[in-house]
Amino acid sequence: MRAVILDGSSGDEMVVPRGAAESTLREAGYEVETVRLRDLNIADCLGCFGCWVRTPGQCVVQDDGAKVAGSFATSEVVVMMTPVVFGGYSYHLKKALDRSISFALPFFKRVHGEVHHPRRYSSDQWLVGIGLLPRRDEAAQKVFSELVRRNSLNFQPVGWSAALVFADEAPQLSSIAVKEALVKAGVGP
Amino acid sequence: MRAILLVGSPRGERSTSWSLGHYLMDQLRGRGWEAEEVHLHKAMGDPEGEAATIEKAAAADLIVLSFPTYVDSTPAAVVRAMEALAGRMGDGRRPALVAIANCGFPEGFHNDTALEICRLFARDAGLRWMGALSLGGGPAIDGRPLAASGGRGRNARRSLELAAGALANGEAVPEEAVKAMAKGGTPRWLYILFGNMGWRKQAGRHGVADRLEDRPLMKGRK
Repeated sequence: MRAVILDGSSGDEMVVPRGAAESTLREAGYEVETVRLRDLNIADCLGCFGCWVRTPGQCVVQDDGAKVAGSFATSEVVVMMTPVVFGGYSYHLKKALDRSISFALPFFKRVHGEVHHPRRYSSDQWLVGIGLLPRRDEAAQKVFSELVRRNSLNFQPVGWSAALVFADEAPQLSSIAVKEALVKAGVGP
Repeated sequence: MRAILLVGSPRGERSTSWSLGHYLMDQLRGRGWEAEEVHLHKAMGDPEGEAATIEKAAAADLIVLSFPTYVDSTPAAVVRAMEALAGRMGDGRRPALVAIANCGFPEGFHNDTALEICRLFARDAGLRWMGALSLGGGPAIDGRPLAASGGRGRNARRSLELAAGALANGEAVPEEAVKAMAKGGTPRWLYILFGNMGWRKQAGRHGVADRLEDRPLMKGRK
């Protein structure tokens, strides 16, 4: 079983939660790949829909973004780890996620009463979002949690969860929050 | 008074983001405003371009952010511009910010999280939040100038005219404008029908109509 951690940090600010995720996933029997997105050459999505109608399932831009897409699609567990930026994801994580449209088919279908795209790959997958905030911020926490929930409607994982960790709190609390999030999503030991 | 439109679509002037934002800019020009249009993907391609774009935005009276919703939030280029602008502000100036989001799903509520992110950006950067407009079924406009998009653009035009009137007076986007944009321009069933047909047609043009459901990243797996 494979798990990929997409680390959208720009420095070392996510060391503690990333370590907690790696150890928890290994303990649960996963082969873990950690991707430091800031070190990769990932172009912004061109918005061309080539991954639907030219080279179905593959981005027309063959850079590191294509490799990240491969790791995403072939992993049972995807952990999105990011500093929370205005309630959302960092630039580094977002440019990788923007290239994930190839994981969906272009057609429309209803999911929980809403229109979404069917998944291209039918294998079971679990999705976890971990956001780092400097301190508690109710509005940003709410938006981040809602963003991961909306992502779960689009990626349609078997299980998902979102958790927030805070830079001004004890590192042990971050580790606990990450472990709890993995368990809640259904992938913890 | 000066307004700047920041277009967050990589498709530039072929995008619905530009169509909507450009129409709003024209409405403001008609009310005596100076209005500049910047395509973020092009303008922020190098450090000098990024710095110039951020300076222009910081010096404007009104910033209009118009973008397609990607993966439930603002596209990466918009995140980068917001991060840079938030880092630049703090000189006491408080430009106003209005956001316009469009998405490929027929329902506009898919834009809600992206627009909440814009609202928090305004909060954190010290900008005056003037509200947001949300359009579902954006590809129905398909980058055509809104003025030439006939009935499909009628509600969007009405919305942007109302918004321009309020913004030009320093007021927030009125509820009537929000509702008009939310109406969209194409019935949901028709949009879905034509959407599904359109993807097959486009794939056919590229000779891959029978490969639309390929799974190249998981060869040998489900």
